[in-house]
Amino acid sequence: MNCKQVQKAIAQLDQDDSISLTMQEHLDHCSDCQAVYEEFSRVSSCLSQLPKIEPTAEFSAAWKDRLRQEALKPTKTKQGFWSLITTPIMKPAYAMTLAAIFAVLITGIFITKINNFNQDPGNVALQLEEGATYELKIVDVGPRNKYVQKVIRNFRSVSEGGIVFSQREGAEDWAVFKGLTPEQLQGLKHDLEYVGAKVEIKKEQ
Amino acid sequence: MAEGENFLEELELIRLSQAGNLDALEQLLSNYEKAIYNLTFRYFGNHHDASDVGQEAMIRIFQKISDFNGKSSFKTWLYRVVTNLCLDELRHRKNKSTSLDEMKEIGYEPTSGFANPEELAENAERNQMIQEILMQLSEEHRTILILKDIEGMEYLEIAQIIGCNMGTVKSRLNRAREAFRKKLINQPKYNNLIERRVQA
Repeated sequence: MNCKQVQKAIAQLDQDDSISLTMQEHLDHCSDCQAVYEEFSRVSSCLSQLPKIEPTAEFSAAWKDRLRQEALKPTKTKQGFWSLITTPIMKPAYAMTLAAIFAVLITGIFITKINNFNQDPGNVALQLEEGATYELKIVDVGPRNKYVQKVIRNFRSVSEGGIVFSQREGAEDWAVFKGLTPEQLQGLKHDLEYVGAKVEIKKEQ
Repeated sequence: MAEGENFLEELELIRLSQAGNLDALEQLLSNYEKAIYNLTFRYFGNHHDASDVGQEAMIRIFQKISDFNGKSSFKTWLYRVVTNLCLDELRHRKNKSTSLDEMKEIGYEPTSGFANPEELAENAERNQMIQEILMQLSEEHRTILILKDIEGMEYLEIAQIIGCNMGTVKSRLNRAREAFRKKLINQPKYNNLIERRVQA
């Protein structure tokens, strides 16, 4: 053992621990480590021999009094949501209320969706006429620009003839597709909306 | 009463306390009253704070008793609650940065901590010096020395109290003892005491 190892081991010795043979051999020949050992022994005994403190005379009565006062305070219920509906007495009432709220919410969401669908100008164009052509304008790219670009590139690579595509960066009508057949329109609209873009559709003259 | 009976009695008191029985909680905490007071005293070094924080500790235990799940011993759990409370209070006070003179103004009297004022003068002086050095250590070092060297707790118990592994406890103890030793040998009082003993 070298001095560093011995001094590290000394610092971890407990009051009642005996020192190993190799450590003792080192201490017998090293006055520095012997001095450190004696210092640490003193530190350890200083701390372990500290007397127990007697609480003040008032302490016992004081904490008991405070405890009684605390117990009188209205308790904050720590009951969670599930414990409310699983408590046998409360169960039917809470479960029925919950079911009613849930039903109202679902109905509300459903009605809102239908209204939005009917009011969406893009959906007017879904009543597509055979042989007509359509214009699709991206009015808002949304948060995923990269994906929108990817959809556009993909669409252009697979679409054939008759499509005019204009892109004006910074302008309000960021990208416009013209001369789309109903099938092309449906596919492109679906993909763009899927990646978060908003589109407008109108029938061409 | 045998140790086993004490253990069973404590379990019953814990169960009743968790069910809201205040008498049982009082009885349970009375068994730890002195331990809690000693712990808070070692952190703050005076009766005034030891009593205040000790009372807060009782309230905290009352509020948290239902969280005790038996994964550690009740004593370990209780020490964790009290230790955390003391550390919270120390951090709160740190912002105020109280000087030793200011502490004395608000009643900091390390010598008043010892039960018998007629103790041998040398012991009293030594104990006061040790408490003062403890107060100068960081929260981390103070905690580990209080729990290991003063309270004599096991490494595993300390690890559960301060929420780290046993390896960390050992290395932290190592550093804490080293910090304590350095402060101790720099104390003029300490050197005087050693000299006096040598002369004797």
